Amino acid sequence: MLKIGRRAVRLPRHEYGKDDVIEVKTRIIHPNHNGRHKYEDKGYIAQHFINLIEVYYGDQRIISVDASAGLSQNPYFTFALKVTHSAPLRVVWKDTRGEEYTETVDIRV
Amino acid sequence: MRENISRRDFLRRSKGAVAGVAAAGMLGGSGQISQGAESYHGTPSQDTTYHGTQKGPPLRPAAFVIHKKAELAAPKGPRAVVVGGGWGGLTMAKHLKLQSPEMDVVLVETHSVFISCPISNLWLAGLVDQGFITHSFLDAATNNNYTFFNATVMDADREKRRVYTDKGYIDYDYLVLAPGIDYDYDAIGVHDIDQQQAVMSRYPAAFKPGSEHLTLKAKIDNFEGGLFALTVPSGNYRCLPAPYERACMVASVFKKNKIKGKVLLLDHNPTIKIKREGFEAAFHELYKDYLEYYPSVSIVGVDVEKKTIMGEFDDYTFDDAAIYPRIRGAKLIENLGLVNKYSPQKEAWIDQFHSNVVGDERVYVIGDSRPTGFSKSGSTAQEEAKFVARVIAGRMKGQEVKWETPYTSCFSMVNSDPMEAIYLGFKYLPPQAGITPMAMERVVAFWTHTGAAFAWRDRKMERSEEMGEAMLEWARVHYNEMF
Ligand SMILES: Cc1cc2nc3c(=O)[nH]c(=O)nc-3n(C[C@H](O)[C@H](O)[C@H](O)COP(=O)(O)OP(=O)(O)OC[C@H]3O[C@@H](n4cnc5c(N)ncnc54)[C@H](O)[C@@H]3O)c2cc1C
Repeated sequence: MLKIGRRAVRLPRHEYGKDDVIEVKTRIIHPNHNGRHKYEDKGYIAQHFINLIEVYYGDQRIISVDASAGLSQNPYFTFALKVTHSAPLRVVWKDTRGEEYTETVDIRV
Repeated sequence: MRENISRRDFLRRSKGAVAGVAAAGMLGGSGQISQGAESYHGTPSQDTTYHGTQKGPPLRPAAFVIHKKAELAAPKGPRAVVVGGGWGGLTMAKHLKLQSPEMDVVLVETHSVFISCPISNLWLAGLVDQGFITHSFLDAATNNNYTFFNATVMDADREKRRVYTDKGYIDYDYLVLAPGIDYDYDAIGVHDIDQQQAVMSRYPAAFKPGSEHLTLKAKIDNFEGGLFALTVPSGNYRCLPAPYERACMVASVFKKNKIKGKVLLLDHNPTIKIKREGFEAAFHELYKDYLEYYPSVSIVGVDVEKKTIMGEFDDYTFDDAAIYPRIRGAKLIENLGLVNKYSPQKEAWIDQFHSNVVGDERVYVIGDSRPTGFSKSGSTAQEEAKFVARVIAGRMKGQEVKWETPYTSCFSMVNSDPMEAIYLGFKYLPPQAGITPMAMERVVAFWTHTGAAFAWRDRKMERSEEMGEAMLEWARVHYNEMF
């Protein structure tokens, strides 16, 4: 049901060209337990959250986010990207259990 | 604001009428005037909510005026007009009469038949018949000694203390507004009026009682297979568990009739918003092959022709759907100029401890148009109505009644064979006094997302037949409270 790791990167629905600044939206389904919440009867929910988000445009790493336990459930990030060339845009999420999730979209100009 | 009212006018008017200090606020805020005026009761009505001590929405003349009196017998006592014959209004009319038998109570309602939203999900799955959720306003009025007036309220003049309906005007001593909700299609990216009409009529939310439910029932009965989309909106929407309950009930129909179909439940929220353990268990254990749940889907548009819901990230194509958009306070509240501008859902500007419009102790707003972060539920509306009936009865005698939390008792049916339900009951901490305007959305979120605002809770998340039976009993008791 709540599939951990289901992720999405969305480019604008509209047309864009070289040197345009576009908004990129990213979201991953993740419980992001901060370790400080309790079940009513079963004790604390183990810590399990996204602690690193990286964005690569082609080979270049353009964003690196040190995320913390303060991040919301299903974290959602948007950022502005200046489109300079055609290349894959790759978003990587890593969590405290060492899982790594990757999603790639193609930027074409 | 009316500035052209003389001191003498005011004194004449305030004799046994509106509260002294509060009325001074209404009339332009001269403290001097209020000193000479007779106070109807001691406490000034203040906005204890977001604005410190602001004066409340300004008085304004009605835009819709009809010069004919409504055809009602002359009042035999102080007249209370209750607008809206839903869960809040019906309970209000009955309890006003119980609290103040001398009161002449008129209930004004657009519809001529009552259809209940609570239990409608069970009816969708064939667990109760239509008679169970359908009732007569005439019986309600006859059994509880008030008058039912089948009309639509168009406007009001609070200075004249007069409401205008499509069938004539009615003068009131007390006015209680319980008009429920309206939909906000703009919030899901459907902006054109013709598109809004198309979505509303072809894929009705069925979160307002009436034809929408009949259309949805036919859709479910005639569904031949594929994906049936249901949505959960953002904000403090009407009945937090109902969309999940409905998902269970629709899936149970597919399961029972062996239909090759699935419910596609698209949730704006990051996770099931209420009774999560109970619903999650039902989704996994009962409807694994009949239901798919997608959290964090914020809807940015609907393509009616292509039968597609556009999410911010993904598009979802469906075979049939019931699309529940974001909700807001009923448009009547806005038309009367009573919206609290800091309410993200255009709800009423009221004193949250007594439910009167700020600055006007003759007009009250209850039910789902309130801005307080209570659960927008029928049982809450009933409890609140009983309390506010006491507030009004008290004020008639010059007494002030202390705030009391409503009690929300909330069942959800999750299985239809056998009928099994889960349960959550809670009371609230007092509304937050004096918080800053910007905190409104956060407060609503706080009240509804966390348990922290609840003073007391009772949870039964393991579904059982015992709870299933209790749910039907709950319905009987609550219908009995109104009819
Ligand atoms: C599917 C579903 C399931 C639900 N399940 C539950 C449940 O199990 N338990 C529970 O406690 N709650 C439940 N609820 C919530 C409950 O139905 C509402 O919270 C409750 O009806 C709110 O009462 P109200 O008086 O504010 O509004 P309503 O009951 O909607 O009444 C408003 C009335 O005002 C009338 N009106 C509006 N404008 C005018 C006007 N200008 N002139 C005249 N009349 C007007 C309308 O016609 C309507 O009859 C459910 C709701 C839905 C949709």
